[in-house]
Amino acid sequence: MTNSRYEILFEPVRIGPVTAKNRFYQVPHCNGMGHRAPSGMAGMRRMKAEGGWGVICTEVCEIHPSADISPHSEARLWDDRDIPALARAADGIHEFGALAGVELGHHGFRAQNRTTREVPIGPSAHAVASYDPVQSRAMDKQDIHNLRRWHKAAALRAKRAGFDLIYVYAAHGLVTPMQFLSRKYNQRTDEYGGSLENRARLLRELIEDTKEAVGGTCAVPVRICIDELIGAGGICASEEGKDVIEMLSGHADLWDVTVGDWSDDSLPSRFGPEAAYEDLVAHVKKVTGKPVVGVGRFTSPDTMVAQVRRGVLDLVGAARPSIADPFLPNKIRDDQLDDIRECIGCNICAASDNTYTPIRCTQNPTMGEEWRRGWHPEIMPAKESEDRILIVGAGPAGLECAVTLGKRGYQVALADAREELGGRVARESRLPGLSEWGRVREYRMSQLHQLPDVSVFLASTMSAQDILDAEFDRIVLATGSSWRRDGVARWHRNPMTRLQAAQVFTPDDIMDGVAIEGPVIVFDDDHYYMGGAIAERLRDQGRDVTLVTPAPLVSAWTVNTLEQTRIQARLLRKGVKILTSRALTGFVDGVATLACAFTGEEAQAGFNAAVLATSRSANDQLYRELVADEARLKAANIKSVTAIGDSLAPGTIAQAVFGGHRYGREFEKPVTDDVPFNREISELGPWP
Amino acid sequence: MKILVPVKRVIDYNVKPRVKMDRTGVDLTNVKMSMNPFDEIAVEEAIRLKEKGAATEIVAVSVGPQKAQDTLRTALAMGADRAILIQTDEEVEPLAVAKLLKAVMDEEQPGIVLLGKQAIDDDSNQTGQMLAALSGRPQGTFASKVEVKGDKVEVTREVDGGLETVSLTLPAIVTTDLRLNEPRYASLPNIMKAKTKPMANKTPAEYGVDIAPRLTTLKVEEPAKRQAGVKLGSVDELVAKLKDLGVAK
Repeated sequence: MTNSRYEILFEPVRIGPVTAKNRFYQVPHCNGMGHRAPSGMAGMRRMKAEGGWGVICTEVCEIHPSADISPHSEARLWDDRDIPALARAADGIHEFGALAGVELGHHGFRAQNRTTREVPIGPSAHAVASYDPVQSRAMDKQDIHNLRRWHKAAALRAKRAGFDLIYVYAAHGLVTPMQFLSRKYNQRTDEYGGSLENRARLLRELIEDTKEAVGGTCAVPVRICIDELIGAGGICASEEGKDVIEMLSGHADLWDVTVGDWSDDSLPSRFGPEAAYEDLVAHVKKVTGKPVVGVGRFTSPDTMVAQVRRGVLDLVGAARPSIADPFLPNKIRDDQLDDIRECIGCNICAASDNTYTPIRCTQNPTMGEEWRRGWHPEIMPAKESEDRILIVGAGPAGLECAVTLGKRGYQVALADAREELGGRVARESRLPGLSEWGRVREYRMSQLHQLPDVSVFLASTMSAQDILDAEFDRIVLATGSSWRRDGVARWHRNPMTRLQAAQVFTPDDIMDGVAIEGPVIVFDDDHYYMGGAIAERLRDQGRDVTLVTPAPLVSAWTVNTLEQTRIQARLLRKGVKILTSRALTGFVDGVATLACAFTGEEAQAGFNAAVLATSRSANDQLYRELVADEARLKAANIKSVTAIGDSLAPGTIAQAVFGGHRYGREFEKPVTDDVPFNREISELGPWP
Repeated sequence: MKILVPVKRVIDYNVKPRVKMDRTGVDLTNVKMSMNPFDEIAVEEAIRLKEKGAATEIVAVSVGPQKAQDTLRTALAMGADRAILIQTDEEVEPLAVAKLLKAVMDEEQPGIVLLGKQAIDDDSNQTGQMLAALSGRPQGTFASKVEVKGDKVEVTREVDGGLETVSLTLPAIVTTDLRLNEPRYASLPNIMKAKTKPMANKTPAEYGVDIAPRLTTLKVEEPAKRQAGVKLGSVDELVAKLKDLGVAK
């Protein structure tokens, strides 16, 4: 029974010739599976349909080999042979009464065509955006005719595959109709360039073509960028953004509005709150009577209701919140708000697509594993024995393990040495910008409160003897990891010799509140978020901070989480001195030695303290002590001792949650040499 | 001096209670149970008094089902010396508990009985007071500070007007309030060690107490759902609305 406060979210919405059963709209989003793992993609979409979403869309669907964005693996409808894979997704979505949408797209000059070797085409001749040595050519009238023909053919294939909504995609700077729309990319002087009407011509034609081809039975949504966020030189929501929608309002069945590029649209929580662009999106409904959907990392049901009541959106769009919790709509419907897994805005999901791997989620370890491992986010298999399990360590791995085992009905004790649960999540979420990451801990704590068979013990340091005396059948060690003090990571593979321990600190020290006087040098050979976050924390405390890294970019791996540019910008604006392509090779008596990453040439500079954010050591002493004496374990009737999470090998929080979940779900299964998940093998082509 | 600390097994304070379909009570099936938070404070205070040398033995006692042993074990893990479970599956009202505690007092002869001011399931706030009346001993309720001074105990009480300090001749009854202390955690290693501490199993009949309820619960309901607020545009509007509601003239 729905709390009447949220009833408005469950009203049906008409979209052209089709009707969505509620306002929960999963907008197109990539997932790293795409055409290379079609059942994986279909299984993931189907799970969301089961979770109650009214509309579920695929990722962008490549319509023609002239715009190939490999190695990214997105959906594909190049010819009829691609239909069955898309049909599988549409069928899965339909199984639970949701509408299926497909986002047809042509990547224009952004496609490097690494596989097809076609020359990229776009409104004007431009170098591709990436550093591939590839340039595009300007489309002539024949090219435009061709594009229209390819788009129409893809739309007809999409209809045969069973889709209810067939998009025209003109957003993120990534696709041809938007490249024509943007003055940044379109320098044409014919009727497809110049005035807004001309620049919007291709878009209008594509919408009309699609409506003509499939519009009788299918809705034609348009995904459009209403503000390029580049100021006067680009589309602005209050001017051209609004104008183009007004101009084309009669054509589109629904407006799926976005802002900026992918890093803006999928704004990380470190750089912006929920509903960050409401002011811009609010312009749209003033100029169109068609339904409007947009995103904002909406996690609060109250925010969702407010967007509708305030007349900002008709449909509540979501990508990341649907990834963190495919069952978000059902949980709101059933008044299970405490059970909602809230998105933390870490963008590990985006990183998956950017590393060409199946999507994963820090909060939801089953994301991407629906088909591959048969994992359901809300259903755990029943327990298989009366084994009692002791989990030592209540960080993300231990917490997830305890919750999973508890939901299966096992008796569990979760012990942690500290006086708070959460381990590294509790500590790291106190770093600048990372507070939403604390939801990893909060969600699991809310679940623990509902599991009477899971007992939690704080302030409980467990020695090996304590564990042996504790009378449990299985022991899980989730004791985490510690940042190394010897500089070992990628640059130094052996401990640094020129290091004076007294003035050398680690991120653990900073998070423990150890006071350090500046000037401080932060050596980052970790390349994810920690080095940058520590530098920011120290700078916020008023210290003189220099961040040194062997990479050419600060926090280099965050290119994948769409955060890198903002991280470096923020540190620069805060006055952190940045020295890239350099390694710290020594720190003695207040003198740091820095070596050029290319030439090895050394230079010296004075600092009061150094913080080494390099790599971590697994806290595995307890594990080693226990497994060293098998006879002792046997005497204590302990069936197994297993290390999970960072204490097995330090990694991301997502990996720790995954490890904890996997143990909880599968610990009874014997480990074999078989591939531990389903996979699809390519069909061999014709051969002489 | 011996300190007697009654503890109650109640629904865990983190759990959202649900009322049973038949509205006869709160649904306790498969629900997490813990020691009443005010009783944790009482146990902690008893242990601190022992650590200061003001007490020699702490005896924890609970009236409840067999599973209340877990609650008593938590008290033992925190530092109590010995536990008594008065086992019953029946619902026990504060008066019945007070009568049982009086019988235990007669047997154990404690200098102080330290109780939580109330249990978070029924919020009765009666047991300590009733025990004082039944035993004819002085009471210091809602304690935010407890100091033993010779044959007396000084209790600072939180009352509406501020703080009031009373001096009670031992043996005395003290009930704890939130700000008395922050209880230590019962660690898992200490829980294991607590299994070797004595735990006695008794029944209400053994103490000669009739625990039959004197009250009949007519119905149990969830509180009314919060109504939506109204946004007002000006102070004048606010005053007018307050007048309509009859809370302003």
